[in-house]
Amino acid sequence: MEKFLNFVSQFKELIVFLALVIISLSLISLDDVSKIGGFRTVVIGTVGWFQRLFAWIPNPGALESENRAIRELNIQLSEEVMRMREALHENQRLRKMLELKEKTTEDLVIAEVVGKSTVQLRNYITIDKGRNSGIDYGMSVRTDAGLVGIVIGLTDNFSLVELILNRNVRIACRFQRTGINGIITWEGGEHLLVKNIPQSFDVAVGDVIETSNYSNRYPNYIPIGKVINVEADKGSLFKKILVEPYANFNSLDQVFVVRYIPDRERIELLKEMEESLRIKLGQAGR
Amino acid sequence: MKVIYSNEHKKQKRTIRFIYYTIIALLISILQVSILEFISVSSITPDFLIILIVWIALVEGRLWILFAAFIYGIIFDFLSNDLMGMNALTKTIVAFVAGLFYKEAKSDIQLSSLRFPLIVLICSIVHNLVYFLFYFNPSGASYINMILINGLASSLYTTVFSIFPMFMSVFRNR
Repeated sequence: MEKFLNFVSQFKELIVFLALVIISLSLISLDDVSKIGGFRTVVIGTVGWFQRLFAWIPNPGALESENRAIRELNIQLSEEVMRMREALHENQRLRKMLELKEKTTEDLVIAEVVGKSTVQLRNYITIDKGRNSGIDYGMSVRTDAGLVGIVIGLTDNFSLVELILNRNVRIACRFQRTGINGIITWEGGEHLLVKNIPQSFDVAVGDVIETSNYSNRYPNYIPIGKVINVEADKGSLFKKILVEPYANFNSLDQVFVVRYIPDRERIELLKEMEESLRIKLGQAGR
Repeated sequence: MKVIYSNEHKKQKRTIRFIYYTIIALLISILQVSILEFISVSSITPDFLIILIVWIALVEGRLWILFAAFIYGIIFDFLSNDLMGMNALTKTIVAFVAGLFYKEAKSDIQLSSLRFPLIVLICSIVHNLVYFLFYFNPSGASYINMILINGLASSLYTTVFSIFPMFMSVFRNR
């Protein structure tokens, strides 16, 4: 007994360290990134309130970037207005001819960005609309330009949005021109990355990338960005495609929450399949 | 005149100091998740908790800081919406590494010299090596790229901010 006590006393720091590491690892294995319990909901509300206190501090870099973006957008829009007018007339005529139903528009909720946080390559924004405005977990957030992120935390008056500039995020995407499907990720910086697209596939600079219907988190056809560079991934058979997001993350002031939740039945089905595969793999391992 | 404190009195003083440290850690965590955006460069932010943990480890010793770092990590996990236990693990490891540099009665020399930012840099690199290891698979990103570009940049940024407490200690010693 004395020997044991001596041993504990001699290595107490190491024993405490190992115990705390084991507790931490147990917590990691229990939790999930997107799970937000009751306490965290209170935290989101408090942090949102705190961030609103500092929302008045101007960010010169963001303002300059916003001005530049607005000027460019202005030129594009004026050109587009002309084309749209022509397209509208043509569209109305064609719709009448084909007796197509008017496409239902997305149900959008406009929200102000009251805070931004960047923690270890995870970017979040807090918006001033929550459960009271009909927002729910898993709803997508976008600007007029493109996809911004997804709601992962909720209180009555605030929502926490995980931006697509987040190292946890992987989005099923689609190249609009060719219909090629891929997965878009972010590894830091201002651009997104599409990997694992074979060299033989047709991808060109300027191609528009949008959310794919393979995604079980985001609605279809929300623009994500455009291809700005395509290069061969050294030592592999795939291309490395750099994508510039359409949404300007430096100057997010207002965003739209798309009141659309992906089909829960489909998600349940996928979960069931994953679970059964895990059980089978476990049995095979034994 | 030298004042000799009893063991009980020393313990009491240490407990009060740890309450102060915990309040500072809580404030730092809130700042870290709410207004740190203003000093982020390409999503790279400094980690002020690492600086605080290294500071406490060099002043208070190894054993206490392990518990404190674990608690600060848990608090930060709650506030930052991170994977529960993630920061508890990495901050405990930081405390352990920082504790290896602890030298009794020499904390002032360590805090007011360039040794302090160097220890912060080492601890920060160890922190990021462990931290990004857990996100290697989920993000599908290259671990080496993550560490070289983001991990190292974040460590250097944290080290830059550790110079301020070092100067604070230099002026206090004068």
